[in-house]
Amino acid sequence: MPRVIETDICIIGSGITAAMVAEKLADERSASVTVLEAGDRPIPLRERAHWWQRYVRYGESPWPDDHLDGQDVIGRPHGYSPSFIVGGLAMHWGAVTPRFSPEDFRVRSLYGIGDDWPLSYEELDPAYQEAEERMGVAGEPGPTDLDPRGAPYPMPPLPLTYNLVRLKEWGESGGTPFWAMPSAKNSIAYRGRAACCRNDTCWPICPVGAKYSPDFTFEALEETGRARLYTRTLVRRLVLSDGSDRVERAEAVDRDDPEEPVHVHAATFVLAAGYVWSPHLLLLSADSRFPDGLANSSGLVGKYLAGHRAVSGFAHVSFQLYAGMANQHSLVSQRFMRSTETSRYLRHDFRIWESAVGREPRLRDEDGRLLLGDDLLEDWRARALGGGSARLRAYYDVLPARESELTLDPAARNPWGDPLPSVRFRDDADSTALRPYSEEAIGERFRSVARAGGGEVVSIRPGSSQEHPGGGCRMGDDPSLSVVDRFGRTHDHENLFVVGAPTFVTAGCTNGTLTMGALGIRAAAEIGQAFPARAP
Amino acid sequence: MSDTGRRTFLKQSTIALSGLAVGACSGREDEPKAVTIDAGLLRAVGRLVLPTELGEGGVERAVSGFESWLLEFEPVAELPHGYGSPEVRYGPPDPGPRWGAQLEALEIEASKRFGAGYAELDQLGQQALLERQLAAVAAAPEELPGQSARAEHVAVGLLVWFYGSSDATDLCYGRRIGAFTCRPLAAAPEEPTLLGDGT
Repeated sequence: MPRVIETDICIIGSGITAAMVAEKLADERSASVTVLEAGDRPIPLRERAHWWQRYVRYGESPWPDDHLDGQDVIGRPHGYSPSFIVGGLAMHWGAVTPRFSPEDFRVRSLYGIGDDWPLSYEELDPAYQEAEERMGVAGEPGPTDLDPRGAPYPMPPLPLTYNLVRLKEWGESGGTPFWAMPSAKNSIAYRGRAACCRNDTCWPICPVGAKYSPDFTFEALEETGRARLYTRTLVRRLVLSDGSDRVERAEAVDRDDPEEPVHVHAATFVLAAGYVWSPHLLLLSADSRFPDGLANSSGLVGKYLAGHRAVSGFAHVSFQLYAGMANQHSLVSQRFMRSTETSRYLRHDFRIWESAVGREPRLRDEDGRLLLGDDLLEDWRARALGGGSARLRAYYDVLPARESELTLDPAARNPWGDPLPSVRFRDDADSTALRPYSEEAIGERFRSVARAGGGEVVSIRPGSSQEHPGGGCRMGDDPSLSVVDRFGRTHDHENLFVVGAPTFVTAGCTNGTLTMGALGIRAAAEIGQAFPARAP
Repeated sequence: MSDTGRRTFLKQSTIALSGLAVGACSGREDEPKAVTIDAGLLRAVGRLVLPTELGEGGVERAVSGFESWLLEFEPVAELPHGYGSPEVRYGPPDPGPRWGAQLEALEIEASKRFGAGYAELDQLGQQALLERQLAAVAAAPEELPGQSARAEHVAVGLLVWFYGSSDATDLCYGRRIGAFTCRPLAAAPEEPTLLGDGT
């Protein structure tokens, strides 16, 4: 006999989008919310100083065992990390929270390539704002024409370090404005969490809780009885009601009691399991009426996996910088996200960090001479003093092919007998043709900025993988060309939503986490319409 | 030091360090760890490879810190996922036995070649033996390894540990940068103050 859980809203996954959805629904609606997570809880905040120290001293993971043996991805799942843990992959994030630009949502209309999203930046702006407030984002608005937003950031920006102040002057010498990268890190105490004190380990762990992670949200929801969270519960299948397209239940395995299935019955199901496990679950849930998987009448579940690619570089500057002031905080410019400024399509963000490249201690000099004792320190000083290094990076827009896909691999199964996902990324024809040009043009922009500021680019490396992936359940107005609508509701099942990364049409050209959260906020508003408002 | 005396000393050092290890790792169910590092030889190597600017006290602090680090080392610990990588990674095994053997080898070679303990050799003699050993195990690549425990040789492990510290960065720049320490946000835009500047 299965163990049955009854709830109004069942959220599958406990990452950052799930946190936004759960909190908004719990705040605004009178409905029971149940969250299912296959992994365990992370270490609590009070123990993070210890694990922070272990990371700094030994490089150990502060989130050990956040993976399920045998629950793997086949192929080259770029940008995917196993993160079966309450908080999901956002337990590992760097808390960088730029918005997409208005152009990211309209590439077909503006440039004649790729596909438009079914919603505009302006429509998403209020949800962006709400996500920033719920996470707690510290930010400095950029120039209005480059960084449009409807309201101020909820927190003042993290102050630029001495290094970044100097690098801002350097970067702007060529006419490109740079400003502080918005981040979900507290510049002041916020929602009961401490202000940042520059431990410089945002990735992988903040010892003081200044960096937002979704476990904080779930902890607060549980403490106030506004949501139930079941850990170690892996959902294997969604099952429809007899004679209906509505989802009746989620069938899960309790990892501590695998012989007794767990059935979760809900009025509404929200799939918030990321770009791999969300389409994977829909494909696993195929039945006689939906033999290709749930929500898949378009045949697009698992298709159009999207990411962006990076070009990274390092530059040497002639003014003194001090490595170690805060190497995870950066400058950003959205200038090149707003307009291609080139004859061919090219949009990208542009970030600058402090760096120690070429100015680190070493064991041998250029002649191969072993450096010990005073020689080593003198060699280090000779290279570290009197100059500095900068790290440069641009994510450029890559448009996905339909065949950029996740499929089930029947030859590879997890410990519970379910086929594992196989992932393969593929650029569409336009992006394939543009790739060499894009990477060369970005490299030239790096060199141009460096030259204008009196520096020199010492290395440039185009990335091979697609980062910050999404897609697989893309959103759209046309059910034949998309899996979910503009709110994340599946076209095929009125009580089934997919939220966050899987619904991306494209991955934009900057980090996508805030956009996932904003889409979650929009979805929660729509989901909430089916439930009464919460009494004040 | 005779072979017998040296071995007795090694055994005593090992026991002493094992005692130090008791309770050193809060939050873990650890057994006392047998660390086969000769404290005296490690200090001799430390004086050789660390900068003299540290002074005797600074070298002692660095070597003691390295010993504490080694005592609390967790073999084959799970490491953070590489950025966007599906691979679950694990750290290296305990380097202590390898490093302990290297120190012992220095002592044996000094005894056989010069009839004296390694620590009793002059600086040039110590350096020659150490460089021979580093070359023999190809333990000194151009770049310092990212983690001490991945260093093939104990001398390189000590250097990685020291030069990866906040103190070393401050020493290099002559400024209080305080990398990887809790620092007020408000001071971020200021140029780090000079070491020795009381303000």
